[in-house]
Amino acid sequence: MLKNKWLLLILVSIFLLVVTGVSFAFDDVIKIGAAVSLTGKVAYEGNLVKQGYQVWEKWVNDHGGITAGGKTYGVEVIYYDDESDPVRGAKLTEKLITEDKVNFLGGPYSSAITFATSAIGEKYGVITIAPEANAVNIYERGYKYVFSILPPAPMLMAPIAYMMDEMLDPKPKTVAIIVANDLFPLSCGEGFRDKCKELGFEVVLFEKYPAGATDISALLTKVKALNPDVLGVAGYTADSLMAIRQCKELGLNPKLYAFSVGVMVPAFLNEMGADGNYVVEGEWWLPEMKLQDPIFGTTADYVKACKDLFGEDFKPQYWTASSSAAGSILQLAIEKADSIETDKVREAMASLDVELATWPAVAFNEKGQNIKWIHPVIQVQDGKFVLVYPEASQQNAPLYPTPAWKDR
Amino acid sequence: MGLQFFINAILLGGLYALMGLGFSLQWGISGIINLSYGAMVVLGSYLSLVLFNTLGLDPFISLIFSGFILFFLGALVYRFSLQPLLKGGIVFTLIITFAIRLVIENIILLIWSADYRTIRVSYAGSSLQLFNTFIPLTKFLTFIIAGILVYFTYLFMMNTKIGKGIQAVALDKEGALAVGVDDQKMYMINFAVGTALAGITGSLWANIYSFSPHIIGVIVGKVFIIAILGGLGNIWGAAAGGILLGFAETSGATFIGSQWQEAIGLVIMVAVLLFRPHGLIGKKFFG
Repeated sequence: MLKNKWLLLILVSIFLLVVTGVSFAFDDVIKIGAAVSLTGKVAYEGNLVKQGYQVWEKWVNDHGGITAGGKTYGVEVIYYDDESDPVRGAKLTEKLITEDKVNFLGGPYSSAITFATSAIGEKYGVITIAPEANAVNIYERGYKYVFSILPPAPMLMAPIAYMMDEMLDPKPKTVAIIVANDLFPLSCGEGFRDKCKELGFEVVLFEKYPAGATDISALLTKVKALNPDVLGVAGYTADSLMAIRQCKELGLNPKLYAFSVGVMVPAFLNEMGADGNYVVEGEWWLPEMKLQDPIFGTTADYVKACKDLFGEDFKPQYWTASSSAAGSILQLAIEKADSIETDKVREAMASLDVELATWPAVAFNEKGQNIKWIHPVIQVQDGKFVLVYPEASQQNAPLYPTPAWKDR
Repeated sequence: MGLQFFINAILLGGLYALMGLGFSLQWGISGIINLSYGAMVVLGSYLSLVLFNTLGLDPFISLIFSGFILFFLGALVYRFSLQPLLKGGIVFTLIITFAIRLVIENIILLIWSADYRTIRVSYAGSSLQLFNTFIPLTKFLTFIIAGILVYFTYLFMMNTKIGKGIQAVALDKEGALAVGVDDQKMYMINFAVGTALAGITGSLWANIYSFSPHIIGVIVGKVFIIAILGGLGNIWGAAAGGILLGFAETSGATFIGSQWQEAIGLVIMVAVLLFRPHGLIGKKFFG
């Protein structure tokens, strides 16, 4: 009989622990809805985004929760799988708001899905913090309740222009930019062009070529005749491979190769070998950065938190960091507002201007876009990716000028 | 710059000539618009990649293997999937060849993923220099080989019994049948020669450009233009069509603007269809 009593007591304690859950330690819980792509065509990135929310969720709950209005709140993120489908994402977002009664929304991966889900958030007056959606049209609808962590695409190559201005000696003077004629590369190329002009570089050529072109020798011959100090290439992975190879074939020797994407992928080093050296590329965030915030501490601490949760082999990239940053931004805004009421949080969020361990910098314009950078630049040095800009996070100084092909 | 323009154009055109030839023969003689042609080219690229990674074989050598393997693949495809359905007409062959494209494409995706691949031979990227003009070595060798192969194809058609049989069914099917030519065999061999040329083009392509299943559509687009420019089933026509497309793309990029480099080929194709529907060179085949 006595034995049974003890057993009952243990069972009741376990039961209480389970049902009370998070609220056992906190006064209340903030519910956050996240319909992300766990299956379907963007499942890979969708899962990385989910992991970013998970790291932040666990970290907050392990570190005393969020304090606002004299209460401490735990965090509970409710996940659904949108199957990489905007329509499904929108329906699930409605379910999160009306049935699960979430307080805030964490956005999914991709602009297309966020475009749909943020419309639902706006309809019900629930804030969406979008980690991975920088298409301009999302933020041109006059919405009040959507905020983006990822800066607009034209800013991707902007830090390369800053690096050229601040770090290179002798400072380059002329820039030629070639762009794959497609939405994303075009935004990157135009952003780079405008930033170069703003910083006083002479843009001697800005020319588009068809997206998917396999031979741009004729265009590169034109570039060669202009002999620019910097060659900017905005395209995709295939474009970066093509450009390097055909530059070499034609003896085109700019002092700096500046790329938008397609460098920091394993394929680039594998396929290019030593020919890939000296190339620089703009990035959004890197785990090697030396950033700080009051939530995770340093970027190194954040990386460790990720490894503790997902294993030693897990190295967070920007897809994961941006959703952790979305959580962090929400947390900072709630603390600043000292309330979890949507409109107060919205106001506080709009006025934030911060550096995060999980993102180089965040400050929003009136449309909700993140217009604050400095995000990083990497260079391939001796077959490795090296962080060269900004100076605070620098691993090595940029190698400049790039030697001519015949001298390599 | 003038000489560099010419070099860029003619080297590009040489590869296009070979690439378009197989497609043109299949369409003009066997009567099959082979929508899987691009996939067969890319398959040749991957065969060369495997031989390069495992045996260190230079694509200029492994193109022999690509040619043979694709020849037999082409013969099998014709015999077992196209020939039985020829009575269904052109729509059937379009559907079947499109299905074959999807099968090949997905097999490539399964084995090698969608990543872009490159074969980097030791002399990749090096150039011959003539005054201030650069002649990329791999492209130059590709041009020579393409020229030789086009000529060999011509010799094959003119001087061998099978080649003459193919000509015969192309010119006058009933007449050829009357003198005992096995028309289906000729169509099959002609189709297989076309796929062999596709495979060889793939090996050469792999030596100068990056490749992935994404480029299949690009290649199909180009071979259509080349075949129509030159005239279907005409060997020298395909060669001329290839060179012309090389010049069209290069001059588009040089004189108008690079965003027009591909559109200009299409514009010329439409003009040819309007004013010389049999192609720039003569009529069908050697007739």
